[in-house]
Formats: sequence, C-alpha cells, structure tokens
Amino acid sequence: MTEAISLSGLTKRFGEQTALDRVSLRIPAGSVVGLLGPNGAGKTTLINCLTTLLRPDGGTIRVLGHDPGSEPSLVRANIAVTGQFAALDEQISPRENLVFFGRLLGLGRGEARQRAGEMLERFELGEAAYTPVGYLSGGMRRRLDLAVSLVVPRPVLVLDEPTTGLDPRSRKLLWDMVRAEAGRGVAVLLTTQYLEEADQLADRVVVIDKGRVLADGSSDELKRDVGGIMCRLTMTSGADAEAARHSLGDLPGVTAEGDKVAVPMSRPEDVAAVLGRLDGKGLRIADIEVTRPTLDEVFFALTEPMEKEATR
Amino acid sequence: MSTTSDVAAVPGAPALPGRPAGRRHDFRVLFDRLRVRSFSRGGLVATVVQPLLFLAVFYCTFAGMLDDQGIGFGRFVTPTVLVQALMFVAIGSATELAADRSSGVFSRLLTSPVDMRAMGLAHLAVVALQGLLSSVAIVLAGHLAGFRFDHGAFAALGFFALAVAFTVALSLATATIALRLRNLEALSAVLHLPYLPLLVLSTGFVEADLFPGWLRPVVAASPVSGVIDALRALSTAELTWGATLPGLAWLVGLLAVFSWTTTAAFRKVAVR
Repeated sequence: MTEAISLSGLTKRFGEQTALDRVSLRIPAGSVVGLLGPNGAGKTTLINCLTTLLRPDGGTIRVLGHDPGSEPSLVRANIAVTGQFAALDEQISPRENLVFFGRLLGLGRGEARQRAGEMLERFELGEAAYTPVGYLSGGMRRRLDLAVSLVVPRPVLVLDEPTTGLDPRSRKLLWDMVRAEAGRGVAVLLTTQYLEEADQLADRVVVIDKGRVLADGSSDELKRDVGGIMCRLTMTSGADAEAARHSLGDLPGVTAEGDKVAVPMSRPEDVAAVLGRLDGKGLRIADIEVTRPTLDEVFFALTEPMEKEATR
Repeated sequence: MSTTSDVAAVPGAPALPGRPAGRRHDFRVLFDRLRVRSFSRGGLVATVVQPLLFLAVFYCTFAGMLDDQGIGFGRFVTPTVLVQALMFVAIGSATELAADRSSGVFSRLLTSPVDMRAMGLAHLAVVALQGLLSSVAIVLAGHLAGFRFDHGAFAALGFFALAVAFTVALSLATATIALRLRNLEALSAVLHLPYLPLLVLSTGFVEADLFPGWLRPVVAASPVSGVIDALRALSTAELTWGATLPGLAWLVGLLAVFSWTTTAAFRKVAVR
C-alpha cells in the first residue's frame, strides 16, 4: 500500500519544553490511524506540523511524498483538516461557507454551488442552509465544519478531536463519514481522548504522551497489554478500598482511588476469583462493574512500567 | 445497512492528488467573500451611513460659525470627514481580520492551498473599494454643502486616488496590530485610541495657526494634516506642490513602513 503520510523522528520544541520527541508514524492510503493521548500530549502540535502551521525542529514529514517545509501548497492541496474548534465564517451562511471554501479549493462557481447543496443534504444541514453560522448550534457547526473540510475530496483527512462535545447523532454521522472516506482510499489521522472512538474507527492506535510514542498497534493489541477487561469495585469506604488493593496486590495493574478499586483481568470469569480473595476479610463492596479498560487505564498501564523503572 | 452511512458517504471517485488553483483564482474567491461581507447592510452603515451622519452633524454645528469667518464649510470640512471615514474603514477592516483569526477561518486558509499574497491583496483590494465608496458618498453629500472640484478632472481623480491610497496605508497599519494582538477587546481599544488625537490634532477643523504655540509643530507635522491639506489642494484650495507634497510623502512613507510590518506580522502568524 502507498504511504499517504509518513513522519520520521519528528521533533518540535517550544523553548525548553519538548512538545514532540522523535515521533515516527506511517499512515497508508485507505487506513485510519487514531492518535490517542491526554491534553498536552503533543497531538495538536503533531497535526500543526503535518498541516504546515508549525515548522518542526527535526525529523522529516512527507504527505504523498511532499515536504510541508519546501512544498507547503502541495501539502495543503492534499490535506483536509478539521481542527478542535469549528473554523467557519460566522457572518455568512453554511451554504456560502461551503461555496467559498469549495471555490478556494479550485471548484468553479457553479460546481461549488452544486457541491454545497449536496454537502448540506448529506450533513443534514438543509434547514439551516441560509442562516448565518453565528446563529447555529454547536453540533450543527461541527457538522458544517466537517462538510467544509470534505467539500472537495482530498487524499488525506486530518481530524483533531472531532467528536469532543458532539451529540450522539452527530458523532454517529462523523464516524460513518470517516469509515466512508477510508473506504474510498483516503488516509485518515484522527486524534482523540476516547478509547471507544479509536476502537470504533482506527485500524491502528498510536498512544502518545509528553511528546513521545508509547505504543503503536491495533486497539485489541493495546487492550491486551492492559488486561482485556476491567473489574471495578466500589467499596463502602476509602480504607476498605485500600485494604482490597492490598489483598489483590500481587495481581498486575491493580489500582485504588478514593473508594474505588480497578482490577485488570483477561477473562470475565476471573471476577469470581477476585471476589473469592476478598471474601471473609470483612470488606464491604457497594458496587461491582465489569467493563473494558478506559483510556486512563490503558494509559496508566502503558506509563506505569516507565515510571517504576525511573524511580528504581 | 444503516441510512446514516449513505447520508454521510461522500460520493465520487477516490480523491485525486490536488494542486493549488493559482494566485489569480484565489484572489478572486477571497475578494468575493470579503466584498460580500463588507457591502452587507452592517458594512454599509460603517462606510457610508456613519460618515454622512457625521457630515450632517458637523454641518448643523459648524457651518454658521465657519461662514462668519469667511470659510466655506463644504470646501473646508468635507476632506476632514472623508479622512475620518477612511480611518473607520481601516479600523473596520482590522476588526474583520481579527474576526477571521478568532473564528479559525484564518487557520483554515493557512492550511488550504491558498496563495498567501492573494490573501493580503484581497484584503487590501476590498479596503480600497470601501475607501472609494466612502469617498464617492462623502463627495456627493459634500456637494450639497458646497464642496466642489475647482481644478478639473485630473485633480479630482488625484483626490480619489489619494483617498484610496490613504485607506490602504491606514489598513496596513491596523492589519499589523490585528495580526499581532490576539485579544479582541484589547484590539478594539488599541485601534480606537489614536483615532481621536490624530483627527483633532490636525488641520481638519482648525487652521494650524489657531492651535496653542506648543501644539503647532505637532499639528503641522501630522500625517492627517498632510493628507487633509493635500485633499483640499486637489479640490478647492490652491493647487501647489507645497500643499500636496507633505501628504504624498507621508503616504509613501506609511505605505512602505506598514507594508513591511504587515508582511512580517503575517509571516509570524502563518509559519511558526
């Protein structure tokens, strides 16, 4: 498969702080890569480097073989970007926004109008077609923002936390759209804070924190690293939670916070063994929940060995 | 098969590698958007209605007073109201630029294959058009108050050209500020701050000799005085090089300095 995006050894510093530390990443055409990380991990910095908004301090970037540093306009012509916040002209209508950005990407006036009509319909914005964007709801703006990014199909699509603050219907629309784009051969890079989103969409997940890549693999691989399932116990007190953590201390990745204890497990059946070990210790359990790990837990599991090593 | 999936799918062949559309195309598209925005109802209030209102208010207040001193109101004050209107055009254009920055449109443009020079040129072209529209409206209204072109068509053309060039120079100055300042409220304050002192400490309403002695050099050397005097010379006062040169010199200087500062500020915003 052709590499649509390839980053190698990408480094970006802001003064003393290293925002990206030798990040390497490859995205073939037609695949979706989810970039996962907490706030301040370097996700947006990476996207800004990729989309020509920031100049990296080291490493190489290629978008369909073009270097953002020396051929910025060729890179821009091939990347559709949707940032964390809707980027729209608020004084004009959705239709006018679509026509404007469509023409800017090379469509003729008539062609842009026709395309605008199609996009309004696809993104369920027909009713608001002539309302100034400033009056639209948050969800509608995000949908329009995406419609604007896709008004002219381009081979690379970059989405920076596209579903943060989105209602479920808009989220579904977005997920379907991402799948459809990948199906047409578009390379998609999306950043997210939600494991579920990466789970749903990404062929590969790259976890970054403090500018460094911590893990790179399918979401199943990632979760396997943590323990496939998480058993969450809510105890009646913090002291009980601490005691429970102590009792289960030899199991890998057990954590306690407040009155809650989280136990990674490989199979749901293991819950019986966990409860058996707590039985007869006088500990009182208020609630039990068996779920998949959250991003926090995947994250914790990925960063914990490093920290332990560092303190050793 | 879910229906939303059909709804969301973007039809057509796989996306082909794109090419930039070219500077001329970009300019036309960018210009169209700004023109539509500036010539909407709100935009016209700032460029046409407001200066005409100023002219009317000044006429009611000062016309009699100036007549007593043997000065024709229309001839003397019309260039002043025009310069004031052009200042508002420049402030308005910077506010629009700042709005584009805060709404994210600017970032979207910077990540689109848009020619950067076309962005700047489209901004200035719309500013020039607004300046011209303001000039025509004020000259027509001034005509009712006694404003005339005494030196023929060429001088009149020079009058409009000077007004438009001054709008562009001022807009370059305000654009620099809009590109440097992130805070919208601070921007508005900074843009409006110099407007009144510049206008009042000029020959716009009172001849330089009538200012207190210590202020006279300030008034005489002011760019606003220079431009107003040049506009007067090109319309109704005596048309001499002496009357037009200071204004022209200021214009050339302002255009040169602020083209440079705007370009530098833009580069800093565009690629970090």
